[in-house]
Amino acid sequence: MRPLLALIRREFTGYFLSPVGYVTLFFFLVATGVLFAGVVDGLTRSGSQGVEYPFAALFGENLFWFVFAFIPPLLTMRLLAEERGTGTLETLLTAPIRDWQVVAGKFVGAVLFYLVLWLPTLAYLPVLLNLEWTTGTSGIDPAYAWVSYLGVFLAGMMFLAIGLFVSSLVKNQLVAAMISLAACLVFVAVGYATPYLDANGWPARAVIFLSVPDHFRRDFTRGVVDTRPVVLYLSVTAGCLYLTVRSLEVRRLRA
Amino acid sequence: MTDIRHRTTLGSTFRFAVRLLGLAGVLTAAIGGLIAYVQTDGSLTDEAGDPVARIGRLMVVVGGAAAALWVFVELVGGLFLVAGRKSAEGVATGVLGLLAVVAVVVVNLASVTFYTRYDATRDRRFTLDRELIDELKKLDPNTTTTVLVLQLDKTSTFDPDQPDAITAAAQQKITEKVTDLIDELRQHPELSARFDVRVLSRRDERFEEQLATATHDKPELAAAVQAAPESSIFFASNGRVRRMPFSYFYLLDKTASRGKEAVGGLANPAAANLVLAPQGKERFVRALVGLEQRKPKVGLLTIHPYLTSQDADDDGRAPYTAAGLRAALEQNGCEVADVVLKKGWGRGRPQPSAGTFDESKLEEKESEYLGATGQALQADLRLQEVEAMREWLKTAPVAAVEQRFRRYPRGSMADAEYRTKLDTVVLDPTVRQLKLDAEDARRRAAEAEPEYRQLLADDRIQADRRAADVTAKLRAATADCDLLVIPRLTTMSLVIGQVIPPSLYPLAESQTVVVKEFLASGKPVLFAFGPTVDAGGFGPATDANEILLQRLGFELGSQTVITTPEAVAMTRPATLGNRSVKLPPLEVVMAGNTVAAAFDRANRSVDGTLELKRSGYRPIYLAQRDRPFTAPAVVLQTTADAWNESRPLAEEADDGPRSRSYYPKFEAALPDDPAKGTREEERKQRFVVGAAAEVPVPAEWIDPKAAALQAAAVMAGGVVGLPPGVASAVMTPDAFADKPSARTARVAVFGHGGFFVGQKLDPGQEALLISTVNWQLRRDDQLPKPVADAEKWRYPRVSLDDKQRQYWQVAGAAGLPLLAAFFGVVALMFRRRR
Amino acid sequence: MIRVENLVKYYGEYPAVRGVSFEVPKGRVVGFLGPNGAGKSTTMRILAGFLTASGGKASIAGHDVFREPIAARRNIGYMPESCPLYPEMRVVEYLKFRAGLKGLGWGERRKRIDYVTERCWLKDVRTQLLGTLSKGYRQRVGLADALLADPPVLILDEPTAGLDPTQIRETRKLIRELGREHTMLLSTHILSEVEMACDSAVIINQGRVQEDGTLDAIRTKHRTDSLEEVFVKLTGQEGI
Repeated sequence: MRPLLALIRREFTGYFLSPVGYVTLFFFLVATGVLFAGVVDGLTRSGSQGVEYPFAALFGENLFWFVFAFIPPLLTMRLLAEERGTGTLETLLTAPIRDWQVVAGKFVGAVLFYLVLWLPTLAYLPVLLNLEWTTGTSGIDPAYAWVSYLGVFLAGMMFLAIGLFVSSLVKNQLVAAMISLAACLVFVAVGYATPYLDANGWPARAVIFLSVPDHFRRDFTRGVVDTRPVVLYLSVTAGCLYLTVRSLEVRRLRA
Repeated sequence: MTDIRHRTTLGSTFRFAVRLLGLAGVLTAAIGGLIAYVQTDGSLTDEAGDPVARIGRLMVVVGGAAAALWVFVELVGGLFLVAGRKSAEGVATGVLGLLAVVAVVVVNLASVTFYTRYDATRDRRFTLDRELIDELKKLDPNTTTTVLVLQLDKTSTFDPDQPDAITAAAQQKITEKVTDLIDELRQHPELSARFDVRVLSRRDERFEEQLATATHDKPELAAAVQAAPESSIFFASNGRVRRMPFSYFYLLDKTASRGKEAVGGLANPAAANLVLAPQGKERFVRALVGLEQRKPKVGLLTIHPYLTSQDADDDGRAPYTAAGLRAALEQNGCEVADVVLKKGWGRGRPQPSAGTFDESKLEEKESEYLGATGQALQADLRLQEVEAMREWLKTAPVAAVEQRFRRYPRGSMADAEYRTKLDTVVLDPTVRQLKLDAEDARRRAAEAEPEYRQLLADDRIQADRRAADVTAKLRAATADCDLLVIPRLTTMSLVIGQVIPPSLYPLAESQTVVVKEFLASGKPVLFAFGPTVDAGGFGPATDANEILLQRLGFELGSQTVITTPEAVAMTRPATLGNRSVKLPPLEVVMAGNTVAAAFDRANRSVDGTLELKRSGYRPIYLAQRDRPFTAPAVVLQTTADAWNESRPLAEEADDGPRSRSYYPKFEAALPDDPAKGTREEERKQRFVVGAAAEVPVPAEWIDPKAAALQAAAVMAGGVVGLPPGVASAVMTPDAFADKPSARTARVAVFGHGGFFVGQKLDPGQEALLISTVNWQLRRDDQLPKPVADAEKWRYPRVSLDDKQRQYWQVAGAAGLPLLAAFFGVVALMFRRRR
Repeated sequence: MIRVENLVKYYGEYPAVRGVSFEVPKGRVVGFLGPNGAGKSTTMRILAGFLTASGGKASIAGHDVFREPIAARRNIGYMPESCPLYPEMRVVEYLKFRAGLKGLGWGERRKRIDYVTERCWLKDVRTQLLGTLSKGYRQRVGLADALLADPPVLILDEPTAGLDPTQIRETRKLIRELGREHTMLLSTHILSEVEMACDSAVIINQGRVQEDGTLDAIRTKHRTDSLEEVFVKLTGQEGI
């Protein structure tokens, strides 16, 4: 257990020791901040326009996810690829730590930083939920908030797991970033095909099943937890982590 | 000594070759697959044997074989050729990895089949209630109901053709919400199999083909979709189609959206929002479940074919036709049947009848044909006479000729000249004229003949015609009707004096008795009786129907309500355009009447643009002697600027310089006016011109004993000298007054026959008609539902003043990121110090 | 302590190690000799647990490196050839991390770190970022890391590669000191180093062991005083 914790600690603090973490945080906050400003506009204007689901305006748009898809690859590209490149993987794998602990440690470290990334967005909640300072009640259903955050957490885990797996396969960080970006974008870009598909056929249903922005637009930002996307996120996360462990094993066999 | 390990072995070369072949095979197969796919438009098999597609398929096969060979060699090599731990481990890892991928796919396929949705919202607005789901499950599991969502530009027939900002926003929002509702249905694990849900939008370029696919076995659905005037959801199953407009689910409250409390109130811009009144999901379910019920039938009782609801095929009939009523009711899911109550128009006094439109058409054609034929015959006969006379003229003695043609004296003309002149000047033109007449008549007969013959050949019409007993015929015609509408269009425009004599309308007793029976059975009737202003006496202007109404508590006044603008317009000379008048709209009385409330809600959805205005109303007095109406009955009233006039028509004087024109003018009654103190006193006030109430059916209409007593009372009243209505009301024994029959009927009375007349009803007329009819048919669930203000849907608003809002926006967009950047730079600086 | 039996390792088609067998008893300092590309690093990596052998067996202190990897690695302090480090970490942070990985508790961590920084002359650079250290210091950090958990076996891959003469001398001194307390296997192709620091030598060439034994025994066997002679004879290279 101790090796695992030590690794988690190092991975997590590692994000704060290099510019990558801060740059990612900056651009992420800019993107969400701009969207937030737009939502505030919609919530405070008078007239026949408005925003019904504040979180949908933030997370339900394809655009947000297009930008967001860049973030997990940036966070995970260095996890294993860099270590292979610099050779530190050798000292890591020769320490008395099991392979699954290595993968888990890196993953958890990445997930923890991912949570830190999202922490500042809690500052938006007073407005997005129309919180009443004195009584603490929210004018807008808080389910929208916590279900959206849950969804963001699970979807993020999936993207991070994909990134970690890709990172374990290649030596070059940039290549790792690009491939994981492509993989993550699959989940985002399929949504663009919906206008061209017959809504009753199976291709449309497959697209909706995979399209992360749609999961948010239809379910999470409205406070509905549908088990299908949740199972998708968890299963892909588990699958990728498992494959990462196997990949380390294969590395040992072939070097 | 060179390192022997670096020598390439035969094995390694072989393996490289196999790998190369395998990869090339995969590439070939992929390209071939793409070619085959493109060539055969999606299907990969094709019997036609397109050569390019064949090549593609060949590539797939060959490539696949090469790839399979590669895999085989790898496996074999892995298992046998290179011994030791590496191979076993490698293969094991590979297999495990593959299993992991398969496991992920399997888990997800399973989750798609067995899933659940948990609604964490406070008001659980995204779940259909358990009871609704159970009701839906009761539907026949073997038939699939097609639910077709049609998106048009209008979400409500009241929407203007050019929507303003609020209407446009509402259309978008309502469409979104209805689509969400349908989505809920689709997503529901228990229900999705029974419903074939499709969403179509007319704006979509593939609309036509999508419609064809969706309705290929349901032509009635296709027809309904094409005819829809507004965005609707269609439910189709087993040949039945039901249409629910979007406005049944969410009705725009434009008045509240503008920040007003009520129609005509002050607008508060700060409170402007988009306000929709949710009408409840139950309607949706009821519509699905009630698909099996038959459509209600509305019987329209008119006296002349022109007034029926058949399409006016020439513009001359357009002001009279009730085609608009038919269209509106059919869109509302009702059937409309015409019954023509008088026949024999144009052949003397019209007779009571109970004919269908076709019957009266036959009458008309017959009259035309026979008339024309008769005229032709007559002309021919006369022609013969004149020809004979011509002959006689040639040979007759002069004296006889002079005698005959006294009117044309011979004077000094010679005999032959005289005869010739007579022939050419008198007889010839007559002959020519007669010939023309005959030709004209024959032509008309020829025109009318084909249709006449066709109608004559129709057995059904013949059978109808033979039925002589008017009462029985009328009873039969109205037996399956759920509502009767009896319009009496009299005043069309007081200003120009366009009036249909009210004496044309009274029905025979044989017909009124059927109306009475209809009411007595508890079925609703809508009366739209115009004022009885008469310009020419053909007989009584009222009939027993008015006595029926009196008995039910609605007394129709004998005067005409005229408004000041009309009276003013009448005084202006009748030159072009000078007689135009802006009629003041009627007021809808919001005192608790259901019909008025429904109309008001419709009106709110367009913020008060629904207007009802007609020329010349009949005042309705609600008699509440025996027992008051159980609910407020007043629906419509005039503005305060109207009065009850006994002579509402202008009379232009044209005989002699001393005579004066008469124009109606309000004159307050003098103290010695006999009418003072009575209802007939001229007073300026608001008059009730529309009322709707659920009234108890008088006991004597059902119970024969009571009826006999009533008849006796009437006779007695007649002896004593009281008007029959008053007498019967007064003479009713208390016993009956206290024991009303348990049956009630929903009666609506309007003081103008033109409320529902027109080729196409304007939005106000339509709203009034639909509100009234739906209430009368007890389709209360289709009336716009009253929704408390707190229940209405609005966009959520956060109350921040302008400065606060800007601070938040800047903080979000720039503040947080800059803070993060600051911390980052500081942290890195901190680290970098040696 | 270290036992290698018929170790085989293939990189794809290429047999890097073809049946290597030797044994390092407890307390011995063994020099692992061979030309570049002979298979030294590969063997050491297999022992350390970074690679898995294609065939054969290897065990450390009785624990098979394949079947009981954690137990085997607990007994090893490994220093790879390139001395890889995380440039953004400080020396102490790195050592704390490595101590955690090796399963040392909090209190013990501090003690051991103090000890190894002392032993490897890292006191001056404790708080310096690893990215800013010179090659010599990096080597020392690597060594400190290997010593951190006080393992009975030290496996050092070319510990003096790239150092200047002073540093080489210091390192060799340290190795001799450590040799008194730990079993060591160090690989090098510098013969003088072996002569100075080691008790025995294992000579490996083209993936196979050519000679294995104490230095004296080897010299005697090949009837020469110069190890270089032996090396050249065995590996067949003309003039290094």
